[in-house]
Amino acid sequence: KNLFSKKNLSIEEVEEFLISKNFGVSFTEAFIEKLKENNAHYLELFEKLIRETFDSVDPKVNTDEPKPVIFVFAGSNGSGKTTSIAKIANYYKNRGFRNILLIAGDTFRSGATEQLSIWAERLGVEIVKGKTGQDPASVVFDGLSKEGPYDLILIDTSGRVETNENLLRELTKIEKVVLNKKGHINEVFLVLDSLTGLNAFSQMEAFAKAINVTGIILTKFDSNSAPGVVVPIVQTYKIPVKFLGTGEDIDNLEEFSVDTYISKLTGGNK
Amino acid sequence: MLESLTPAEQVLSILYSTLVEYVGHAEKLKLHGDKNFIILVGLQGNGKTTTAAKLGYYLKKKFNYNPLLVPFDFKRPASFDQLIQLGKTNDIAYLDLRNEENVKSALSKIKPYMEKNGFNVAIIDTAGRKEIDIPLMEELKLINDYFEDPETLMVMDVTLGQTALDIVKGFKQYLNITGGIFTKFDSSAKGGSVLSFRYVTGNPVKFVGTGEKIQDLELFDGDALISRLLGR
Ligand SMILES: Nc1nc2c(ncn2[C@@H]2O[C@H](COP(=O)(O)OP(=O)(O)OP(=O)(O)O)[C@@H](O)[C@H]2O)c(=O)[nH]1
Ligand SMILES: Nc1nc2c(ncn2[C@@H]2O[C@H](COP(=O)(O)OP(=O)(O)OP(=O)(O)O)[C@@H](O)[C@H]2O)c(=O)[nH]1
Ligand SMILES: [K+]
Ligand SMILES: [Mg+2]
Ligand SMILES: [Mg+2]
Repeated sequence: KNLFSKKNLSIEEVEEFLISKNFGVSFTEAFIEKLKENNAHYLELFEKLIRETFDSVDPKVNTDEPKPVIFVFAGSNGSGKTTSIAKIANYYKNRGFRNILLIAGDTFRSGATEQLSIWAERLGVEIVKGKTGQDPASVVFDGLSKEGPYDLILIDTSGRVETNENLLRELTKIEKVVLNKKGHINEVFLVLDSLTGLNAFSQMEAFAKAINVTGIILTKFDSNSAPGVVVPIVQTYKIPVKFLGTGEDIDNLEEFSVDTYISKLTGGNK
Repeated sequence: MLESLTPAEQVLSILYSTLVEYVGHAEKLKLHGDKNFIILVGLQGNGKTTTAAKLGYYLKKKFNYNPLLVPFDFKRPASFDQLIQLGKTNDIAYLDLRNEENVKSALSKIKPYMEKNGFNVAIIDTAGRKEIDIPLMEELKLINDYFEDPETLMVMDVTLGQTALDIVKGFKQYLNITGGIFTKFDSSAKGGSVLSFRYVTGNPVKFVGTGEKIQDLELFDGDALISRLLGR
């Protein structure tokens, strides 16, 4: 069902639409309730709610001084952290950031360091690597100890599921190391695969507990995805979506825009 | 037995057994004769490469097969390093086709290499792709059609949301999918995507991934899935 099709949808069809776009049951029920209460048209209410949600948070990326600007990337396995780092390095390189350093904090997954190294080489930026199995926090420490000056430091971490408390604590440790060493972190991005269903909510909950998440990167936005779940996430956690990943290439990155988001949700005709 | 249950419990109990029947139980890999081909396909980042190594390990350790890992993702940076490292660490052989000119010439090397070295099952790890990317899906079809009667398994992340159905349909338009493997069962996701897979393909789910380590692969268990779904 397409919300924007010419035909007027019944309440049940609106409900079905929201569920099919991964808004979740609570959001959907609340929406239907409001729809009945206000006697509004669902289209208007839908757009209004989405705009209000994203307007309530600031999508601007924090690149405030002092240098170096530091971003940490965290998220579930395979969500797109490493690729997003490459894209973001490229994005800021194109915006005048000269000395960029990548820290390969995924010492666990086979080929993870090699993957980030290939991107570093293609981009012509520096990289600090650890040894397989080395404590990621110590790799981060080594990276931050490197003589700069750097404009931008991007820290990669291993993927982890939201149920793995030991691994989540590892993120807390990384955060501590950065704060001790540099006194600030500009952004901690939760990298979310936009194909993920309601599990994204559990991811947000668990990661935000472990580390101070400041923004979401919604990857694979180019796919057949229905990322309605970020609306209740933004409402609950007041954490903005800052970037969209729109493909596998280095320049497939966009700043978040509500219009793009709304057209993604309403463009399909399922 | 049913009489001692409340009506709600009766409904649940019937629902439970119907669903278990529907999703099926563990089904063996389709392997026979002295040459087998397992092709892993699916979306980006859903666990194909990791699962390729896990399958190799499983077949070698549990069933004395002589598996060959074949990295066949020419796109993702370090995809070859990833699978080759997994092969080396876990003592599973691999075939490095990185320097082949194109997909066709790379494909033509696999069978002769198996014959020469006595490998009886090749596990082919393909690049992640989305079902709406037509050129990449055509390429996958070419790989799939090259082999006779392959076991073509779709590897899917269990946390996939409501578009899972369309994704599976999309892959099915190009490929004769013969089964599924769901990863990230160690997450808290319930597993609705497994039902979608089953519904669209009618094919069995053969394994689930329960972690990142080489041993974290289990035979699919329909009972366990339905319990998980119904929160029992
Ligand atoms: N289509 C599409 N694919 C993407 C996007 N971002 C990442 N990918 C692909 O998703 C796969 C996984 O990306 P990675 O960057 O390795 O993910 P990760 O989160 O670092 O993975 P782990 O480190 O294993 O947890 C790769 O095949 C990427 O090319 C995107 O925006 N669109
Ligand atoms: N927690 C958990 N992680 C898994 C499981 N299976 C795979 N992974 C992780 O998921 C991430 C992606 O796995 P890959 O094997 O690289 O996925 P892929 O499908 O080959 O990715 P592309 O080649 O980029 O399309 C890695 O971090 C794996 O360690 C699983 O069952 N549980
Ligand atoms: K994923
Ligand atoms: Mg990574
Ligand atoms: Mg792979």
